[in-house]
Amino acid sequence: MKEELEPTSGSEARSAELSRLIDAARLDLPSGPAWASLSAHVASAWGGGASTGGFEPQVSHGSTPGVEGAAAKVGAKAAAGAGTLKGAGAVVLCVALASGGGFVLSRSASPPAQGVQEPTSLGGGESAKPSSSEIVGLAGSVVAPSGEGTPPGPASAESSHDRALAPPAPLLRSQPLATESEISLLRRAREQLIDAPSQSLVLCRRHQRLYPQGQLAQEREVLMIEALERLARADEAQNKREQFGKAFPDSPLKSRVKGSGH
Amino acid sequence: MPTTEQVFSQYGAYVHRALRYFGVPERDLPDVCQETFVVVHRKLPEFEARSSVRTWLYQICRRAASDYRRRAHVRRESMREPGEELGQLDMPHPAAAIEARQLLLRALDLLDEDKREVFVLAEIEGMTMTEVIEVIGCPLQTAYSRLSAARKRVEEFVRAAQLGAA
Repeated sequence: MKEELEPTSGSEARSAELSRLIDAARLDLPSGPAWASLSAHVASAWGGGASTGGFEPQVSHGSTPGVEGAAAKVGAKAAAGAGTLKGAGAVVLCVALASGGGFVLSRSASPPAQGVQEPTSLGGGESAKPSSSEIVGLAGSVVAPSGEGTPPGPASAESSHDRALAPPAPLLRSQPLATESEISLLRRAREQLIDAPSQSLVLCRRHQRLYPQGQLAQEREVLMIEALERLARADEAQNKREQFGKAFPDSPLKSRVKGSGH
Repeated sequence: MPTTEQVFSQYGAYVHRALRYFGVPERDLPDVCQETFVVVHRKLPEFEARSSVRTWLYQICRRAASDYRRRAHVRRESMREPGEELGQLDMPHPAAAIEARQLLLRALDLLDEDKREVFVLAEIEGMTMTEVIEVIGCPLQTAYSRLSAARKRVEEFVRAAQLGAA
């Protein structure tokens, strides 16, 4: 793939008009009858049928939910919403479990009955070449770079996926290197956010020392705010939030900072 | 481990939004959203929380939109119909917001798929760049470059639209 792009820090200012359009898009979330219709339609796919109410959406308009870990914040409200799934409705989609666990979809006036290919690894679909300092896996384990040139196909895709989801290997990296990359530091900080916010804060401060003007400075600040909130250090969090607004007035993460606490 | 229902309750509205701005037209949004959660339902038992549910889900969502675009291309169908209404199922949207979304969608339609994806994830979905590269699977600098190029192109379009030339 050709990339004829200039390097950038991604911190360019947006025009007021573009900000307006983006703000409108961020609020573009289904609600009311639209949500009920969508949830009934989606629920029918796994045999729950459709209720009149469907799921209860858990949206806070503006940005997506936070960076919480897997099930950490899938809360009781979600469970309650899920409970409303049971019921009858116009089942517009027929899902049959084919042998091997595949789905067969059929629906009138729908796109061709062709399943969606799921990602074959949690690392994404492109053959990115991480630098040696960036091959720390998503959960902190050290993973080998994916085999490039592997022909795509169900078998290889499945095995690749399984590999990506396999339990983490024993950590080869127990101590961060002095030259630990920005991305690795903040990944670890994010992983610690839910269960060990104070450790997350430590990692963020290390990032701040090593990369005060790094490419991920905005993300670091957001993580620090979230960690401070989790530590009930509300004043410091608020202070940092205000500093963030001044330092990065056009940041796409601004709504996330404002909407902290989710 | 969350259930599919829980994942949908928490993230379904965001997936719906992401699919729209990834380029799935209104008429097919419910189906592509459904396809996304069919995959989620099938793969969820294998999910072991080595990344967040959110980035995992957006990987599936992104792939669903990409597959959709490929199918639409094969069928030589127009992705977006002229004057397509947005938010047809959600009438209370003010006209100005609908107009703004339509304008942004037209701008996004001009972008390459890779730039569009980064723009949508970073600017609309509010993802950090580390999350973006987890979803996309590209190097950090590439993601930043795509975002910058996308912003530039969208800004140009928006300026032209303001001048009445779009």
